This record gives sequence, structure tokens and C-alpha cells, in this order.
Amino acid sequence: MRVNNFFSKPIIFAMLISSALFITPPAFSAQEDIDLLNSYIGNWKGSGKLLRDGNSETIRCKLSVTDSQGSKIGYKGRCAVAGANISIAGTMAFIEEKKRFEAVMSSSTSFSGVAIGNRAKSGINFYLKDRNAETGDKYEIKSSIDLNGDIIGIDFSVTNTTTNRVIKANIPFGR
Amino acid sequence: MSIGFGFERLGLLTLKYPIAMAIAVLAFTALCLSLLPKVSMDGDVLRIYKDSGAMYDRYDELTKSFGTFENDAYILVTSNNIDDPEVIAKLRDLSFDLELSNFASGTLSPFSLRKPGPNQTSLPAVPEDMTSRQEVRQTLLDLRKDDPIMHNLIMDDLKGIVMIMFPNKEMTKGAGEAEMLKELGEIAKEYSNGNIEVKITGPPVWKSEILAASVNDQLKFSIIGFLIGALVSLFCLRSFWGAVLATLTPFISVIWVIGGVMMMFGSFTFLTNVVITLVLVIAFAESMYFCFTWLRLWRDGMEPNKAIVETIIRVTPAAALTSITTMVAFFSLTLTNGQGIQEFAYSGIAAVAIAFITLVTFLPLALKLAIKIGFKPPKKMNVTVEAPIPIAKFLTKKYAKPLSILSIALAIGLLFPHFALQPKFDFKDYMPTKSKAMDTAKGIDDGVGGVAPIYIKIPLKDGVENVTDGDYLTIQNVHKILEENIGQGKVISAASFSHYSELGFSRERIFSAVGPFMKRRFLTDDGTQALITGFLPTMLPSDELREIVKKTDIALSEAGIEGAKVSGFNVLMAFASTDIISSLRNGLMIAVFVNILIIGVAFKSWKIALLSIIPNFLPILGTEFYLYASGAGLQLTTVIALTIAFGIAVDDTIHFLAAYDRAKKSGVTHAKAVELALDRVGPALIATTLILCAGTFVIIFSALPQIALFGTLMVLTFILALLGDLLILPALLIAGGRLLNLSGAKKNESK
Repeated sequence: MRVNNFFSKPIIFAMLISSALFITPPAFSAQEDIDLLNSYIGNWKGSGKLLRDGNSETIRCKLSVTDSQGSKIGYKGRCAVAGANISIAGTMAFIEEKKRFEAVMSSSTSFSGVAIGNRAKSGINFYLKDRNAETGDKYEIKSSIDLNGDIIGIDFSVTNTTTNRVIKANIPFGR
Repeated sequence: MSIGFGFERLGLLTLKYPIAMAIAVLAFTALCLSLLPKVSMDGDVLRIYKDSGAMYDRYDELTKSFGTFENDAYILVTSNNIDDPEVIAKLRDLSFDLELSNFASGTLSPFSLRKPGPNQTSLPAVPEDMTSRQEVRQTLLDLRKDDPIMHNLIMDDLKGIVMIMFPNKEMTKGAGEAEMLKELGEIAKEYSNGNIEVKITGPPVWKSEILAASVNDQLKFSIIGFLIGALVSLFCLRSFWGAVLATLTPFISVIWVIGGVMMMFGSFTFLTNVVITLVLVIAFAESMYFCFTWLRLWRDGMEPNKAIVETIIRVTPAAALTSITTMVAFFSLTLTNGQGIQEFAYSGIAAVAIAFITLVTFLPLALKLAIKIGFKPPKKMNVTVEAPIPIAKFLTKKYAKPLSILSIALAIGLLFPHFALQPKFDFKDYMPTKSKAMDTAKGIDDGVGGVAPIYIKIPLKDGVENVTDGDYLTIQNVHKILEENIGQGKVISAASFSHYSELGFSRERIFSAVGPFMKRRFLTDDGTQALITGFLPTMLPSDELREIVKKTDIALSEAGIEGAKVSGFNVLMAFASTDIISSLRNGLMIAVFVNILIIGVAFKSWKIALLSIIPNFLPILGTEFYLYASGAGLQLTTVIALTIAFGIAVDDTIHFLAAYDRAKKSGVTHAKAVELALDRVGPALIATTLILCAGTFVIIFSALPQIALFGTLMVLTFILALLGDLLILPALLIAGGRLLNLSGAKKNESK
């Protein structure tokens, strides 16, 4: 029997994608990309609203970005809603050969995967490369990021294409 | 064979091979000094109780099924405006920040709870986006009324909320706990303002306060106590270098013992920490005897180097016997289960041995060096240490019988408080005075009746994920039994959500809504075990807690609930501590009798052994009387103080008896032998008592009530031991000697 807790698979996907988006700036060249990645090193905190089934509730996250080896940075984060929390961790890098950002992620749940990011006009669009095939559910995930000085806004929506249930969240982060 | 069973030969060996021994002494000192920077105090209280008996086994089983509980942090949030929607939103953020801590494995607060909603959804138990004070107020009051968990987290006057953080065991290992407290402190500071006050308490905070106060005390009192001891040595010996020589041995002993304990166990615990004080006391006493005898022999005309040899022959057999008797006292503790007490026992044995080795190796070498660099003995001891001797001689000679009868009557009379004293353990007794964390805990007790948990773990027969009706009924029964024993609304379990059941939600929906973390606080994932949690005041006295456990155990047994086990960290401390106290006391009593036997064997006289009973027992009985009269009771610290009391009493008695025996063997009369023993040992006894009293007196000012009490007891003990050996032992030897016909007493008396 499936437990209907708040951090069900779509939310996990969305958070992982968002965490990747959050620390992935537009790419110009390898060095500039690395410098930009490094500029996000530090501790970030965000609080926003999560909408599901017409109900809205608080979601609060924190993320610690650390210097990793060479062109990579590492991140560790945690998000909480009433009654549940999730931990995520991974590394981010700009892959010169593929001209794109890639984020390797793992979480305190069974999910792990790779998110791919490409430059877009107002930020980065990320696409989930590997879906978690465990449940057989299919999710359509849309995410966007706004970099505005020291404030970062993350929006995501997750649609279960089977049930058409939608979960949306908006989390502004600050240092 | 001498009374020291030949161990004094080590001292003679030191003088035979001074260079080799000096190298060994320096090498071991260097090794121990190198370990000093690594000295640490292991604040893991569980280490003390490990393998201590049934209650530890219960707790161990509980933690294996449901995680650890001894490090839960309690956060008390107070505000006069909790019904302000903005304040509630702020508190929700605080709750989430606690949940987001790297050190948290989960939290329990009104904001971490969920409830079933319409259309298979779940909602935060405290609704969001409330707009008016009236709405917030009504919602919180309803939650408090309907939900037993909320009842224990929200104060009835709505002036405060309690949040509990369950730490991640891996993250809080070692230095992690201090880091967790630092982070919690930062969070509390961030959210505290004129409108909201956030305070942290709970076992990790208490432990940290005790540790900080202990380390601070040890550092402060060791230094001050040592300096005062040195000053009194200077006063008694009237020689700066004489005082330095007398105080150097305890100093080196302490370094060796610290090194030895670190080598044996890697760190100190609350108990092994006491061994340092014990060694300081014993080493000080032995060193004083040694130096007094050496200086007296030198002043009497003996060549100083020869006087060292003679001192070794005269003093160290008694020191060896004293060490053996004290080691026996410690060895008796190994009969008690529990890692903490075992470590204490073996540390004590090693420490006493080390103190003796220091005395017979380091001190003779130091004295030889002092002679070489031109040390001159003081002409005469301070008159203060010799002044009471004539009075003691007069009293013991003139009133030997009345003094003896009085001491025996006193000892018999003091047996009443001895047997009336019961082991007592109250956690708050161990907290520093003016502890802010304790004030906060009291605030929680007053506000919601306390959140110190007591648990009942029960096996479930059917073992399915959302519990069968039969198993649910069992949980309900146990929930009810605990509630009957600790109060309505003070229990939470899988059967807590009757309000939602009554609204038509299924068990599956309810468990699903509360979330996996909360569910795991009630049921194991495989559904084979359930946990029923009761909340009690932190300040609940341990005898009341033990009574609750006993009554609950009986009620569970009568209800036919098999395999149910009441446990919890508080329960473990309440039971295991009193068990340890009882064991320590029993061990001490066994040790007293074994040691009296050893004295008999060493002096080859059962009569001497018989006479030494009263002066050995009186300091213990006198101290117990104080504990009884003051209401302090038999606590962990007090029973340790009694052990030290016994060590000192035996030490004094053996030195006195050794001097008496030596005098007797020189052919003087029985009464003269007692007089000579008083002359030779009396001043050293007085000086040692003065030094030890002065050194330990400062402990009375400790911020930790237990340590302050320890200081009081030590001073009392030293004085009683001195009175016992200056008045009672000589009186008993004179009066009892005649009665028992101590080797030629009558015959010599007539000379």
C-alpha cells in the first residue's frame, strides 16, 4: 500500500530539479561557468508555498553549496513541510564537451538521477534525464529559476500525467 | 614478611638503582604528559549504565526498535501573542528550521503534525493562513482538546508551545552534540525578539551544562585546592622546599593517573573523574607521612640519605598495606554490573597502585636530589601540628575506658542512620545551581506537565503494516493503563487519534496523514511492535518515577499483555543509578570487613583487627549520620565520598598501628607504645588533615550541588578520621589492650 505522505515521488523530482536549477547559472565558457558556479558557494535558505489539490501550505528549504574538486561544486539540501522532510545531495558541473550543465543527485528517498540543464534566455531549463521507474508513474516537470542579485526564485510544477494531479511551488531563496 | 607484604622493596630497589629508576620515572612521566592534551571527558551517560542490568537491557531493546531517546532536545517557545497569526507563522518557520537542521532526524511540534483531509489528502494540523486572533485561538484550543499530542505541546493558557527535536545519532556523535547545541542556540537567537522567547533544554543541554561545570570545577578547584594544600604544607613544615617536596608527589601521581586512565579507557567519565581527587588525597597523605618521618629522622641526627632508607623501611610497609586495603575496596566494586562502575573500579585499583609506586620511586629520588642540591631541613615543625598531641595523650591515658565505651556506643547508635539511609537519585541534584536549562525544563513542566518521556514497547501478534483490530485493541489497552498511571491526556500512541476515527477516517488514512516519521514513533515499519509514550515532568523525583514503573508493570501483567516493557532514559537513570548506589555501598561494606581481616593478617593479630573496626567505621558512620540528618540521602557522590572516607580512615589507622607495632617491638610498655605512636604519627596526621581539609574546602563552593556536597563530606570525613585516630584508636588500644591482653599488655604495664 502506498503511503500518501507529502514527499511523494513528484515532489522529490521537483525538489531535485529545483535544487539543480538554483545553483546552475547560464554558461558562457568553462572558466566563466566554473567561476559562476563558485559564486554560489555558501548557505541558502528559502521559504515558499506548495499548492496541491487546491490547498496551500508552507515549504521551507535550506541548501549548502560547497567547493568540490576542480570544476565541480557540491550541494547538500533539505526541505521540510509539515510532517516530512527530504535530504538531497549531489554535485554540479558544466560539461564542456556537451555544452551543458549536469547535476548528479541523490536523496534520502530511493530517488537518484541526473538532471540536464541548458541555457535559456531568462535562466536555465532543466529536463529530467532519468525518470524513476520504480512506481511506473509518469510526471511532467516544469521548472524555472530567476536570478536576481542575492535573491533566487524557484518555481516548479509537477503533473502526474496519469491522474492529472498538479503540484506547484514557489520558493524564494536568500543567503 | 612485613605488614606491607614486601611491596616496600620497590622503594629499596629505587635507591639501589637510582639512575635506572630515574630514567623509568622520567620516561613514564613524559608519556603521561604527552597524553594530557588528549584528555577528554566522555559525556555519554549511557556508558555509565551500559550492561548494568534489566533496565539497561530494556532500554537497549527499545533503542534498537525505535531509535535513541537520550538526546532529545526540548524547545520552549513563549509569547503573549501566540494567537497573533503573524506569530503563528513565525513559529511555523521556527519548527521547520528545526526540522531542517542537519542534526535532526525529525521533530515533534504542533507544526510537524498532519491530519487527514478531504479527497484522500492530508493537511497541516495547525491550519495555514489564519487571519484573526480569534481564529488562531479557537483552532489551538480545539487542537489541544481533541488531539493528545497537541495537548502535550500547547500550553493551556496559549502562552507557550513545546517543540521536540529528535537528533540524528550519527551526526551527534562526539563533538557533533556540541555543534548541534550551537546550531540550536543560533536558531533560538534568530527567533527570539521582544514578542517571542525561545529557550532550549533537554538531556543534551543538561549534559553539556554538567560537563562544562565539571571541567570548570575540576580545573579551578584542582589548582586552587593544590595551591592551598601547598600553602598549608609550607605552614606545617616551615620550609618552602620542604612543602614543594611534599606536594610534588601528589602532583606527579595525578599526572600518572591521568595518563594511566587515558591509556586504559581513552577518556574519563563522570565516575573515573573522581579517581583523580581520590589519588590526590591519598598521595598527599602518604607523601606527608613520608616527608614527616624523613625530616624527623634527619633532625634526630641520622644522615639524610640513610634517613630516606630508614623512612622506606618504616613508612612504606604501612603505605603498601593502605594501598592494598584501598585496592580491595575498589576491587569489591567489580562485583557490580555496569560498564561505568567497572571502569571506575579498575581505574581506582590502577590509580591507588600508581600512587604507591609514585611514593616509593619518585619521592625517594626527589629527596635524594634535594639533598644533592643543598636542601636543609626545617629546625622544627610548626607548633600547631604538635600542640594537640599532649592533649590527646592526656585524654586517652586518663579517659581510655570512657572514651572507648563512648566510641562503641556511638558506633552502635550510628548504625540506625546507616540502615535508615536509602539510595536516592534525582537528576536535578546533578545540575548546576542557577541552571537556565533546568528553569526552562520547569517552565515546560508548569506549562504542559512536562515532556520527559516514559515508553512502553509491546510486541504485536499479527505484524501487519496498519495494525489489525486485535493488535489495535492491545495498543488501546496499554495506552489506557499508562494513562491511568500518569494522567489523562499524557499519553500518545497509535491509539491517540480517536478523534479522527470518530470523524470516519480509517486507520490507514490516519497513519498515512500523520506521515512516516510520526508513524515510526508509534509502530515499527513491519508492524510487529508498538510504542506507547507517556509524558512526565522533568522534575519528577526518581522514587515517584520508580513507583509509576512498578505500578504500570503490575497493571500490564494483570491485563495479560505479554512482552510489554516499560523503559526510557529517565527510567533507566532512576533504576540503574539507585542500583549502582546500592552496589557501591554494599561493595564498601564488604571492603570494610575484608580490610579489617587484611589488617589482622598483616599485623598477625586478630585483636588489632578487632580494635581497628571502630576507628575505621566511625568516619563512615559519622558521615552517614550527616547525610541522614541533612536529608541529602545516599547519592552517587555521597557513596563515593564514603569510599574515600574509608580509604583515609584506614590510611590513618594503619600508619598509627604500624608506629604502635614498631614501638612495641622495640620493647617499650603497651601504654608507652601508644604514646610513641601518637608522638610519631600524630603531627603527620594533623598536618595531613589540615592540608586535605584546606585543599578540599574550596570544593564546597562548586556550582554543582553534588560536588559541593562531596566537598562538605570530605572535610567532615577527614576531621572524623583524625579524631578516630588521635583519640579513639589510642583509647581503644589502651583500654582494649588490657581487656584483650594485647601481646604482653599486662606484663609490660607492670614494668
